[in-house]
Amino acid sequence: MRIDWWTLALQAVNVLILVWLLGRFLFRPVMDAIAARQASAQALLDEAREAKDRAQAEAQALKTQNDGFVADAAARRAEIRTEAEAERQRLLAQARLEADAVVEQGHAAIDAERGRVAAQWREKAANLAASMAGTLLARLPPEQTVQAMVDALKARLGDLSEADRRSLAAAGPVTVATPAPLTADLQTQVARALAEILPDTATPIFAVDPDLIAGAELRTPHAVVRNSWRADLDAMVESLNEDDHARIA
Amino acid sequence: MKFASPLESHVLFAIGPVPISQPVATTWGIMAFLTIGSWLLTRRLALRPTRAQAALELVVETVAGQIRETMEAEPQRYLPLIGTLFLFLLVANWSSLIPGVEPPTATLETDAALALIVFGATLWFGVRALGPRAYLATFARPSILLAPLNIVELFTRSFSLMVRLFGNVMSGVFMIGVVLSLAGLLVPIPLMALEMLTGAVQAYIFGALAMVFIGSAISENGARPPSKQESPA
Repeated sequence: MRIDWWTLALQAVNVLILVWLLGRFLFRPVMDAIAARQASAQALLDEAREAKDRAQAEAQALKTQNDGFVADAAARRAEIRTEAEAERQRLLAQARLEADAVVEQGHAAIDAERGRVAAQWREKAANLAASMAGTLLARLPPEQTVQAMVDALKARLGDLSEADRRSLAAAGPVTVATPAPLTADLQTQVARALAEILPDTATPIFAVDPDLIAGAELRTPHAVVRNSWRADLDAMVESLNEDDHARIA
Repeated sequence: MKFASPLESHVLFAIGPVPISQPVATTWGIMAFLTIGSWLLTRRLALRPTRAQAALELVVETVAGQIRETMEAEPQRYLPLIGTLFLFLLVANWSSLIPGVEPPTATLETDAALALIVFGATLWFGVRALGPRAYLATFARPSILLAPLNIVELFTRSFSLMVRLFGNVMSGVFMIGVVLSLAGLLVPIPLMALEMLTGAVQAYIFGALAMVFIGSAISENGARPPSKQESPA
């Protein structure tokens, strides 16, 4: 066995040269390519991460904006709801006032109608009472009833003041109205009584007015002295109507 | 039939006083093949790799990963040496498949040169990583009494590296030659396939042991890196 030192040295040098050559033409370029790809991938990852961060930031900003919109919409809804409630309350109060007014008007109309009906019924009752009184008076002798009424008329005239009696006598011709014709004696008595009370008057004219029911009326062109049941009934109905109006008011 | 001694190199020609033996010439061929092939493969590297570039990157990245796992260090500094040893041994061992070509690793001088390079690299990287004093201190671990043994081991393991590679490759080539001379053309084919496997395994073992030796040298723990153990083939 013999070691060829030249071969050993040359092979060592060859391998060292090969180490340099492969490091120059193989390992370094490949490792550089791998590093470049890793750097590129890392750059892409960084870019993707930045894009992701930007997207998340934008999403957060949009979410914040959306939350603001939601809050604003909620506030506006609450405001509109408050305004609507106030408007509803106002309309409700106005409607209540109008309804109260309508009800009040209805009550007033009902009361007025009731008063009108009541007046009609009172008038009818007065007419019925007059008719019933006339029927009952028809059973009495006319002289008695007329005489009583003439006496009442004389008393009524007597109650007038002197000035009233004088102006009544100066008013013109006097008409004595009775519900039934007077006999000649009664006419004479009446004329004589009037001459005593109203000495300046002319001879009275006698007229018949069945509506008077009972009593007598003294009529001049400008004045009337009423002293009949009709006048009393009209006065009573008028008084009732005035009382009714006063109660409604 | 007469066989040439595997322990002797056949000189092809001489350049002045320097004899150029057959293993040296074969090594030059392998160097040219690897260098030109590397240049052709790496001249158009791109971010989006072709299939050839992807395969090349897979090989380089695998070697770099082995360095990273075995030596527990970044592979850039050690990748040219370890990668070149592996590729050269692989191509040199498989060169025996070419008729008329004797693998340079079947000669003792080539294997001794490779072991010598690993020995020098172990010292170089160890001193560079730890400094001279700290590197020398690693020989006194775990005890100063073991320093002689550690120093002897430094040489013997490089020697074993050489002998292991030489024995495996030379025996394969010799066996194929014997069988070929006895049985004819097709009979040695299974042995040649086995020789391919043996060549690949030996290339891997040589590179792995180189990583272990250099890794132990750059480690402050001394003789052995924490995760890998030397395993003889």
